[in-house]
Amino acid sequence: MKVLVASTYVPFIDGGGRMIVRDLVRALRERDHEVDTIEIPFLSAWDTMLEQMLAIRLMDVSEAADTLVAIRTPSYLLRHPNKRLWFIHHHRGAYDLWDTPYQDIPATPEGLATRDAIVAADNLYLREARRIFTNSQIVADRLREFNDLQGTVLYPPLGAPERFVAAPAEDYVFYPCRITGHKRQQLAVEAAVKLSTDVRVVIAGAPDSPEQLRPLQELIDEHDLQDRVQLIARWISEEEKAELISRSLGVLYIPFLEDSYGYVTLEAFHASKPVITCSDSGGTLEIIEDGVNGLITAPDPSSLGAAMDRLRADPQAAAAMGEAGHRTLELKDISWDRVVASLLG
Amino acid sequence: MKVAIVNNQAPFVRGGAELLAEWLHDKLEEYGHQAEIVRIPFQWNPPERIIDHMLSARLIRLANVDRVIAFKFPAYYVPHESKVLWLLHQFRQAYDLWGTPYQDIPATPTGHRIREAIVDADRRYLQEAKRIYTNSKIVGHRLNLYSGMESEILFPPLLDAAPYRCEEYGDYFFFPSRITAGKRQHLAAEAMAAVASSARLIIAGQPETDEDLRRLMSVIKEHELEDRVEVIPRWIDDDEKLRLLAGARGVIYLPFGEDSYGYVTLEAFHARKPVITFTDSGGTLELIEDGRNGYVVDDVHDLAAAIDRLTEDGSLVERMGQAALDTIDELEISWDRVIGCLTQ
Repeated sequence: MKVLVASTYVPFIDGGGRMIVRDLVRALRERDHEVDTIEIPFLSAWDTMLEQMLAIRLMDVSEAADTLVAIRTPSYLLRHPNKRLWFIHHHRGAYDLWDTPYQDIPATPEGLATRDAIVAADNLYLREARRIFTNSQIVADRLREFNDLQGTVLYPPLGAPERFVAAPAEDYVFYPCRITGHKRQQLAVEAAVKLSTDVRVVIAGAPDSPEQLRPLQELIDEHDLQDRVQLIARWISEEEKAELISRSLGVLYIPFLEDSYGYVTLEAFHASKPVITCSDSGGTLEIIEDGVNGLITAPDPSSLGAAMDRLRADPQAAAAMGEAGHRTLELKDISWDRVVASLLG
Repeated sequence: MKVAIVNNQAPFVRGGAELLAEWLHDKLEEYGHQAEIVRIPFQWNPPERIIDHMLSARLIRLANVDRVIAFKFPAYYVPHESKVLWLLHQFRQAYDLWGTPYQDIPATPTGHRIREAIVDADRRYLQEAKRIYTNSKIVGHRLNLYSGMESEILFPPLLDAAPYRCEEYGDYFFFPSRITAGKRQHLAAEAMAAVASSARLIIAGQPETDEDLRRLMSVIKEHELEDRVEVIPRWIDDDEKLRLLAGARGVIYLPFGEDSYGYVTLEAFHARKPVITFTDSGGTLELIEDGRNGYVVDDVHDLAAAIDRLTEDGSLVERMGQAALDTIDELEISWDRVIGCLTQ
């Protein structure tokens, strides 16, 4: 089948939206589909957004393929008789982030008109899709709440899960993630102060800026945590990450209120490791069950520290939860076979 | 700097422009820039769609980009404060192809209005470019004729010229290209019937259709040229092509009315081989000077004579081969110049 995968992006910024396009293209090609992509530069600046939306609407790709799969908003504006959506988020500044500090459209007459037009375009043109899938339950919930549309959750699998394998657990929990405020590496370091076992914390990732890194280092120095917390403050390769996951007791993923469950969670489950997350982390709660395949704790240092201690104190239980995490992948059927069959079905 | 190479996109189709975009991308990165290829879909059928896509290109915002390099209509309308054009062609259906069987846009009142809109938009918006380079003289000439704009020629180099070599001036002429009526391999075969010397001909390339191959083979059979004309009717890989070039006496390239000079000519020049082409071949004439680095001939008869001359005179072929190699430097066909021009 000839498939067009459509999405939007900002040039020279490699976000999750581009990764999901690459992964999907590969998965489709591996299943012998003929694939091309339509990746349209799009800047989420409210004052030019409507004209950029019109630019997409005016492009005619209706005869170029049997199926069009649209991913990042507002690529769904492309006209195609057999359009499917794998919807990863709204322009949230016009929806759930309106009236929060993250509202990115001013509440002026022009801003309000822009917001209304975005919502109107979503309401009108999302309905052209023959099927709508979302990357998480929370995005499906928003579609229902704001647009009165029914989306089916279709979790994005990992692009290359083979490298995530289990190895005997050592004495550390591992938090692999870009170092930035809302991922809360700071909370992980604060939790290390409260530990009662000898469990170690390894944090790895590129800091968004030096300012993101400094408070972590200060905290480590202040509490003499050099032996307790290992900070690898740089981008690590996939191989390096897989290696560190495979020898860990378990994985930490404690962002503040994210939509998706995070690829980290899947990587841990592929390697049969339990995941510790927080009750306010958002999407992780869709697949992590407390005490089953991981631990869900309150977002405070003592609770998080207790969860880490628990993995170290009972490695057998930790390993059993890791096994359960691996089974979760099958139970939830998080696989490219399912993704491709759903999107093209 | 962050450079966006802006090209048109016909989904699932890959041609010369896509290849050039990829080469330019790789070279920009090699020269220390960050590069991304931006492909903007273009559908010209029905002709009303052309107007939609022109407007679409105007409405796109390219943020987080220091320099835009645009190739083609209508993607070259994308607004950007630091845009240069490396123009491969305007929408020829509205210009030199208007009034020919390739016009595509109907000569109805609507068709006329569409054509006028294209002509008008080119005159209006191409001026936004800081500089305009073209990939051939003819494209620059048309730009001046139809849109009244000056440009500079910037010949596209080969991605990597290093492996091209000359080992000897052997006894065969080489014609590497897709086998198709428009490239006229059958005329090269026909010329061999009139060749007096012992020259041979090797034709290599993927036949576009079975009919194209049949036409060629029937010429060979008709003139009983089986011993003198060898056909390799498939895509040949780089090693094979380099080897056949390295041992050839000269190269024959006879496309009809092409815009660009054709990579075949440039490959031959890098391998120090003279090239024989036809007077109506188009872009090849921008590189080939009759009697200096090859021959520009009128017909099959003259083609046979040129083959004989090069076969019989060993010092002539060496002199012309050297002149062919020198032509590349004289015309400054190099990535140094391309990257320098497009990023300055």
